[in-house]
Amino acid sequence: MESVNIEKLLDKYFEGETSIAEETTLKLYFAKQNVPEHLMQYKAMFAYFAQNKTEVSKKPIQVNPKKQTWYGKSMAIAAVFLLLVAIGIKYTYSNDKLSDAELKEAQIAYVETQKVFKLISENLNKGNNAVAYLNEYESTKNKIFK
Amino acid sequence: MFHFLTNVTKIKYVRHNRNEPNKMNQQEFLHIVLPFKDKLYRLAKRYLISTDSAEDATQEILLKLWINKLKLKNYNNVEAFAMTMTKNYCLDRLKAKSSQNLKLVHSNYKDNTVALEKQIETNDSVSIIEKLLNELPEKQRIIMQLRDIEQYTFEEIGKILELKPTTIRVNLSRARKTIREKLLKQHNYGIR
Repeated sequence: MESVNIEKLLDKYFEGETSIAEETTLKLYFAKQNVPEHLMQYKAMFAYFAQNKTEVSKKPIQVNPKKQTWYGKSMAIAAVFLLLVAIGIKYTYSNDKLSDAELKEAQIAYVETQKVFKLISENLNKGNNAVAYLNEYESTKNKIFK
Repeated sequence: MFHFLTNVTKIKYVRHNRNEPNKMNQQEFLHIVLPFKDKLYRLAKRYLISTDSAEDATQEILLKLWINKLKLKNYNNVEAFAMTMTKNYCLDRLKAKSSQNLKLVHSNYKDNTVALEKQIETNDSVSIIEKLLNELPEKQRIIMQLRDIEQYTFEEIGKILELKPTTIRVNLSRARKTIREKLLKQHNYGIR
């Protein structure tokens, strides 16, 4: 292309009025070897645009495939919920089905246990009374050795 | 109890069916994302200057896209959407950086070394352009990146940056003229 035309295009270019196609023409023109001396200073600019377009990110794309999706989460929640419901149902049913004989047995066991506890506590109190004498000794000793 | 159980399985079944057409595997996702991945990177680099920050920003944006991958098909222009996301992300990063009291941040520190490297290779006229471009005000710099390097139309740039086409044209013209002036200065300096 004539350098006169190129100069016209350049003027348009600096006004921001060139189309993409015209800018491509400019780029191609300045990519060539024989650029007239008075247009030489623009060569580097267009060369830079072309060069920068080839610059790429060197890092490989990393998306985390283990990231839990909404679907997976909802399934997990449903599973836990079902488990809780199953356990709850099991407990309520087993509690209701105590027979009379079993109830009586439990009552007897309760009374027996209470008796044993009472016995233990009485004996423990006796022991406590004996220990009280030791406190007496302690206070007397404190009176003497001040 | 059994009635309740059958209800649950029914819901599960329906949801599964509804998800199937929207499902996207990694391959499909890469197929959508790969054509403009480097554009995101170059835009991020134009904002943040540092290569490392740009890599991180790109990674971050891709991760965000991956998390919202089911919504991607609702956008008719994923590329413009991703570019806007990159823009907003970078602006956030820059804001966070400038609000820090400590001024010896990574980019400042790195900038000096780059300038030093550039002084050594002053005759490399192409890297001079990069320096001139990065000295431009942010808006002009980004518009020039999108237009002269990525060759977007004014409408597309308007969509990405949320600006009017006339604003873009004015800023682009200013940016190009500034570069020309500085180039001429440098050129004449070389002659004399």
